[in-house]
Amino acid sequence: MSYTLTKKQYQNTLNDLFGSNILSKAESLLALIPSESYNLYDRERLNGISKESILAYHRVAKNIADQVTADNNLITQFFGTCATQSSPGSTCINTYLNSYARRIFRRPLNSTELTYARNLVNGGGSYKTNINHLLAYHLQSPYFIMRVELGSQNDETQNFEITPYELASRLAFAATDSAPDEQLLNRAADGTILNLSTMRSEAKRLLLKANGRSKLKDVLMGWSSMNHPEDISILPDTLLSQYYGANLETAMVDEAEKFIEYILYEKNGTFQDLLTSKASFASNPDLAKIYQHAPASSTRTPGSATALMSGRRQGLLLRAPALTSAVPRASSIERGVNFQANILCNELPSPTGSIFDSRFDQDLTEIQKLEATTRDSVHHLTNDSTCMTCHSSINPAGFAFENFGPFGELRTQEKIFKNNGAFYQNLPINSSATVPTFNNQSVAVQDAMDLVNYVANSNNGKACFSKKMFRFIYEKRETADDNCQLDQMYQSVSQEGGTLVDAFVKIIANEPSKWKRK
Amino acid sequence: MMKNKKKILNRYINRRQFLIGSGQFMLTLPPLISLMPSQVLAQVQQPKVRVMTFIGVFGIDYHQLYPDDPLTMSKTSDPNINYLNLLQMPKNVSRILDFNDPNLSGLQAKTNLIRGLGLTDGKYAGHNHSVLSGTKSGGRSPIYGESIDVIIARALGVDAIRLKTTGSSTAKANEFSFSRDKSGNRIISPLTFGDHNLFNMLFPGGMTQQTSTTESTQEKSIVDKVLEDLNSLMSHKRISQNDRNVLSNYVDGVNDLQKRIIANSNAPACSVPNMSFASSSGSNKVASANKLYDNYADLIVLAAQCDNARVFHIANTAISDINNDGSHPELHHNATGGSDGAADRQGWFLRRVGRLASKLDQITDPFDSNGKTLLDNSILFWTNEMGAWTTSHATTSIPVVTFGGGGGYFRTGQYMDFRQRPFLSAKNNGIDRHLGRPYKQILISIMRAAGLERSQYINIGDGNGFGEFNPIMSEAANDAKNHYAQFQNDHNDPLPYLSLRS
Repeated sequence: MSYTLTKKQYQNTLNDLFGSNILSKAESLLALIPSESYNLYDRERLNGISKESILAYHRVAKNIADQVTADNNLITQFFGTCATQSSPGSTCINTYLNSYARRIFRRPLNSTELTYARNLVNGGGSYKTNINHLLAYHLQSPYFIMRVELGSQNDETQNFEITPYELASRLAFAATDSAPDEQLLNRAADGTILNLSTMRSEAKRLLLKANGRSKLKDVLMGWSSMNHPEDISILPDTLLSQYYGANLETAMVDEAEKFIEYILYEKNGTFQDLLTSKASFASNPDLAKIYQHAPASSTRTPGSATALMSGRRQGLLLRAPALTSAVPRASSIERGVNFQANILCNELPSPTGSIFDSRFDQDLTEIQKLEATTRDSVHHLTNDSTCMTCHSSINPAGFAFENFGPFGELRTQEKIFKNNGAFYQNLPINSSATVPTFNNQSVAVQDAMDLVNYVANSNNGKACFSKKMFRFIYEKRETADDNCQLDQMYQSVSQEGGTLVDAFVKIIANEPSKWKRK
Repeated sequence: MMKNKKKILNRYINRRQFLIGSGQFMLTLPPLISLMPSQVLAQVQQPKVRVMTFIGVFGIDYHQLYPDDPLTMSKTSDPNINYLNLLQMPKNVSRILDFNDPNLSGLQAKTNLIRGLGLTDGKYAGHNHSVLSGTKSGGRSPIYGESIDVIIARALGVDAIRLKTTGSSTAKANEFSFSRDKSGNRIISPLTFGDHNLFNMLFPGGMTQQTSTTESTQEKSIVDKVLEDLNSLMSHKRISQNDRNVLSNYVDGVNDLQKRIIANSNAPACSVPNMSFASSSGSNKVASANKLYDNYADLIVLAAQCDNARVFHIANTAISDINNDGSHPELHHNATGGSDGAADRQGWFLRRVGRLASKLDQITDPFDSNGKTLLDNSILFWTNEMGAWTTSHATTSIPVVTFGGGGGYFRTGQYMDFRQRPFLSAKNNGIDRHLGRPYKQILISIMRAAGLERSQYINIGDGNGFGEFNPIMSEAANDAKNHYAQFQNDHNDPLPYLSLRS
């Protein structure tokens, strides 16, 4: 029943309710809220509510209440003109209770809550102080901090239909990482939200809002690890002089975000478009050099790209941020593990300490490594039969990315460096591999671009994508009860011309969305 | 594609969950803190511990800080933990730790000189802007963790005061204090420069405000209402056991909040004198840097007295003698005076910290009914990003000096040597260092001294607990590679011998 709002959901909700001006003045307090940590592959949240977050919620609530009640214009906005007068009258508080309090609790207040509120504000003492305390309380209540799903009855049923207001919250947080807006609450009030077509049109409306766009961008950036470029500034000077310039890492991330925005919202694109489009928005000269085109113009017509990537590179998965490495030998093991887990849904166990130990006996010496490519070194390190239990899948997937260097640049040769950062020699790379994929099948590829094309056209690839998107949106691992939602998204992704935005609508708004299951 | 972080396995079971699991019908939970009489509350409260971290950049050669080997030391039951009482050692312990200096005079009994702490990976990674998080640099520099000033401030529900000593925005000192956003991206905490800015942060109205009894009562009543909502939710029949656990944590947190509100209402008021601020653009930068530090120190002491800040972080790039604001080659690879010159600049920083320690030791802690000084209830942690000057960037031997007792948590007055006996060397980017214990244990000790529970830091790291633990050193000869494996079971514990409580 209960989902604590994530830090982002909490901030988005406050921002939607009170505006950026008020929120910016609480910024240092918002920073006290711990960020969530997640299990890497199933995206389940690992940390729940903590003393730190409760203390921060308390301070933020007080801060916002103080800001609102210190300014007559804000008091008028939230509590009505009557609240600024010397004798506001006993019904004055109804303005707030029927509007903002409903937005805060994401449902109308029940009779007990209304009675408490009216007694508090009309109970003597300063009216401003009283409304301050009411607002501070509402912003700390578990009905604001948590998303509560209890349905309409108080019985021991564990599988039940949630209320229209609970459904509105479920849709809004899934689509926008924020609370329902006024329109959605009204759809809950009149019950029309229960109609599937209304539910879906509302979900689509939310996904097209700024918060919705931001949510989908976050989801796809997270899935592809585009928001985590490695610290390439500490690579050897020989490499830095080739590609590195000011703000390169930021430019990489910005460009990837622009690409997602372009595919999702400007092109109304498909899963295949996401993985295979050659469109580039790299206006930063160093990034343009990595993507092998002239710097893209920063002015363009929406829906058109002013630059195209050259060579064996395309789509979201072969963009630079996820390919970067802080050391000259980009880790083909890491690339292989991540591709297997995130793109092929083949989640492999982490090696035990004893396996790590045994690796050192197999490792090449530092001198031998100078004569070996990364592929050769990894092959040597993991050639033991125990290691190959997993590395027979990991290594080929990683080797397919050998044609990408530590900046994510295309290469035909690998630069080998000594431990002290001095350049030693170039060695030719080999990115061909036979990569195990789905259901004991494998595919022979020339390089990562072949591998990505295979996924883009594979039904299993689309099914894996649907599963991962479900986990990112709902922050949980799927169960058998979720098969219907997964299938709806998969059908949408697989359908000829099926757009990604529509696929996300299908996973967010469903008949099963109305139900809470144990 | 995503980083290959390990699954976090540690799960904390709180007291309430334990009682539920034990069959709560047999046990009675103690009353809410908010219902406790204030005199009872005072007895259960620990001293207010202040934590101050002081980070130097660009490294110190170990022989500049520590006494020469061999030294006959006292032994603990662990052959790899040796110590000497600083009062029994010559006052001039080393080139830069000299208790004859007026700034350090008389501090031996409340100082610790700690040797043999290293980052366990031992991998060369350029500069190590992660020494407060117990992780190596590299990757997203660093990949894991958050700095302890962030963690402690968050746990105590206070704002950390973060300062720098030059106005430069590019100096390396800017990156030691950091948290993480939802996606794991590092967020570098902004540092404040200037004594006037610190003054305005600490004393915006010129004087601290005491929470009135009326306000405190109203605040408590709001929090009581939140508790009422929680109890109502917990009584709902559709609440699952998992949800009950979540709500139970929520209740624990709200009770903790009540405790803080009561404590805050008992805080004494204090007044602030007028100050003359250091010029940041004067021609005599030596005097200016000294004045800046002195004002920082005076304000920190006042803040400790008034309890309007408890966590401080100062990153130092101000150098007293060469009018430099912390540029890389001049202070590091090509420092004037070589190893001695570089060490002397770090020693100047150590003496400024010592001066602050002395001032804290002259004032009785107004919140301590046992008459302890502010220094007794503080931890001043002086360290550096690297265990060597020049180009080695060694992380296997990081310099550490502490002042203060951390509210009785720290044993003090010791030279503690955690290096393995017989000495075991590991080359760290070409420089030989003797190996000892994981550096992160001193950070854990500080967090524990500040009152944090294990659950409040254990998941902030690489998946193996706080910070980073790598039992296999990636760049060491084979005889030393497995050195840290012996700490597999206790690397998330406080540093032994130093810590007087578990």
